[in-house]
Amino acid sequence: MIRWLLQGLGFFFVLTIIGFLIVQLAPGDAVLSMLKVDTVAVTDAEIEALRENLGLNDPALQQYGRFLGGVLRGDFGNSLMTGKPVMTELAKAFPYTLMLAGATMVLAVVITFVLGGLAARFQGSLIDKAVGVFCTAGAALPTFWFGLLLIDMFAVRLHLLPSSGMATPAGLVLPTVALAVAIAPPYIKILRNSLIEASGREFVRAARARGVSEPVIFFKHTLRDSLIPLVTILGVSLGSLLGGAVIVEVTFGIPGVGKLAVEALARRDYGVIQAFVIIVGMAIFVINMLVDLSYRLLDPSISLKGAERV
Amino acid sequence: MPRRRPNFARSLAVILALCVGLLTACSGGDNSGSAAGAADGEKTLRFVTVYPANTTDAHLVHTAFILNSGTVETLVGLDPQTLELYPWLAESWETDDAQNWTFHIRDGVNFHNGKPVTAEAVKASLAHAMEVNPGVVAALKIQDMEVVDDHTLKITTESVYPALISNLVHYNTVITDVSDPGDLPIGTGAFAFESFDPAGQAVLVRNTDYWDGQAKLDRVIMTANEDSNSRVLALRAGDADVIYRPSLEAIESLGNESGITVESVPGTRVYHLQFNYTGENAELWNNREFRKGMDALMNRQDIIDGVMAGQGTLAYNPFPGDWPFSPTPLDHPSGTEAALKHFEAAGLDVKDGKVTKDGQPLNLKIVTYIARPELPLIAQLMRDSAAQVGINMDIQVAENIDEYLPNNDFDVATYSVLTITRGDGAYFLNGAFGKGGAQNHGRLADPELLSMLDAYNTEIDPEARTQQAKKIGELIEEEQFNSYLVVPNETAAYRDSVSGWLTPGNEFEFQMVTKDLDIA
Repeated sequence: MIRWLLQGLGFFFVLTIIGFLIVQLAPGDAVLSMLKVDTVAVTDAEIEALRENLGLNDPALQQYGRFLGGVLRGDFGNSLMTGKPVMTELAKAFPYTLMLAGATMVLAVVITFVLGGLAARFQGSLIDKAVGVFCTAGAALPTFWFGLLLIDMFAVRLHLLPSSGMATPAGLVLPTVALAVAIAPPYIKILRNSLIEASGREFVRAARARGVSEPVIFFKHTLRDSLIPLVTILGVSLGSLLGGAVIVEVTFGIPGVGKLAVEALARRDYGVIQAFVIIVGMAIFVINMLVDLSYRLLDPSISLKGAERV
Repeated sequence: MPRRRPNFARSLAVILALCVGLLTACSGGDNSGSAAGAADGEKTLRFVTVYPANTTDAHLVHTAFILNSGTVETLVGLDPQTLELYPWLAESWETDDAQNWTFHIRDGVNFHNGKPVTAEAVKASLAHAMEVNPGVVAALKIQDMEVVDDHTLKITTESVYPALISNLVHYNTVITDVSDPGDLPIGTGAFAFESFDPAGQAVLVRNTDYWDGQAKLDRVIMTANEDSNSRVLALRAGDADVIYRPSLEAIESLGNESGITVESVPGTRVYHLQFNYTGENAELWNNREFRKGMDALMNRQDIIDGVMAGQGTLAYNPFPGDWPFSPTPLDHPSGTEAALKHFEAAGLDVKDGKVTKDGQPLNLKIVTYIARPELPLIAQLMRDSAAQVGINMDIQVAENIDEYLPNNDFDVATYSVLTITRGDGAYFLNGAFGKGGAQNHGRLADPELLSMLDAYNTEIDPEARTQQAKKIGELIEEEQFNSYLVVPNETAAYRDSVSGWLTPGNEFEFQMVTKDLDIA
């Protein structure tokens, strides 16, 4: 546990440096956006004066010190675009992303177990081949295009679901399907192959020889043995989903963190970007820790090996 | 022992059924396919625009979403059809020197919370705008404000500044009750916010106390979606009654669909080429004949037909059209033959239809950006035309053109800027040609132009300003300081049940939801 805490602390500081460097190395700053140069006639002198006023011309170390001090107090400053605390902006966007990521993971897992299970169970059959085609198509379809197809079918033609927004729970359905179909194919392949591999193992054959029923063999032995690689890749995917599925969020008009981050980048609202990098980075760290923990639950031998090393 | 496949398959079937059930349950919302209309006795219209608000603060918001919503008004308005300024919340104004201004605030106007609009409230609103938004400070250049009486406000600008009036059109200068503790903008418009989630939707309801007559609609649901295809799908799906800027490729098919009207009007921005007068090839660009040669390489009609699906009009100067300050366009022969004549007159060597300088071919860099998808295509057209006369053009795509160009590493830049705007040329002319102007990326400092601009910036009489702006436009075209190419059209599509919609020339300066908007 202490090891994880130290790792987390180290990772946090690395993230603050990355967040800070992104701002330093990225081209431009928020000044042009703040002065509304696309609708206000401003001069170079006015641009430079505002830059000076915001402390953007201060030495990098001084700026990092200011930034780190704020982060340690939980204060990422105010968004230069909205004038509101950066944390408020992120807090507004995260629920949308969490809902989308959560629903997507649930649906992706369901699809994976259904299709991966069927493909493994009926290995080499027409079902297996159909699942293979689904995986290839799902991985190959550009998400935005698939999203537009879904809108065209379920919103425009059938009038079953809204075309965009998340004003009602129904708004969650199409983006969830679009994302889940895009991310499920590798899970399905992994589960299918793991299940096939596990079903041929000695302990499975032994269970079968003992007369243990097939569902018990499947859920207690085969499936459990196949879950470790799946959980690993699910953890990675969940991390990236928390970072926001930008294209899907834009296509379906969902105001999640991905859309917020892209807009902040376009406006050079770097406070938002820095907070985004640090918070999402830490979330991914925690998810990876949880994935590590889950290994011990799925395979007790892992914790035993750990105990032996100690 | 035989395997018990049926049990396994049954388990999977149960999971699948649960999944389908979950999705079906989620789709229980009202999606009948028809927009709200007047079915329940209440007239509701759904409007999808392009850019969402990023905050509920009307003075800080980065887009014109709040102004477009018809909930707020400015002291000075701009007529979307004539582009002339008109008194709005300010009933009138006067000045003797364009530095000391007296504004008479319209009597009998209340904010949505019932408070009267007084000179004090206007002062507080403008002060708040300047406090939170450095752009407003730069636009208004206000040094001092003094309340004379309930409906008279004196404003003193930092210097002689006739452009103050036109800058009071800016969407961040709308008058709101900044003393109201709530989160919603409290304006004076024909509609008031019932709810407003910048990340979601704004629900607007009729302001029954509106000073300029009652709105025809009871309610408007206003949202934004930056994806043009999604906006088109929303209209087709019945989730929207009006959409702003349908995708170019969908305009023709939408126009052919029954029950949908597509409106296309000339916009107020101009796509053009900016030349670099201080870069590596400054000598070339400071030669008027060379600039004219480069201009002759551009076939404007090809751009409209091939790049813009016909949704544009020709431009030869910064103020194209039939506006009071629009110059009469000069003749601009295009094609390689015309271009070569200019290049020869510029002192370049022309042999066998190819241009060289000191025996070497010309290598130029053109910078473009993708925020306006037509511009990279225009850059490609220019490169292809230049290649025909032996000029090599390298295309560089910048992520943010306004950040790239100050590096001075370009010869030509494709650019888009509002030129025909706010009933006055001050914004465009100072930004694009003023000394140190943030959009004068080519760093042009022509003495005659600057002298005319100085005179313009201190001219008080509106009619004289119009004539001066026209003369400056003529000079810019004669000298070919930049190459003005096309005016992209602004478009909207709406159901035939909608009436009273007016497509504005840009999204920055006008209300889109108006009291005249209606739905059957």
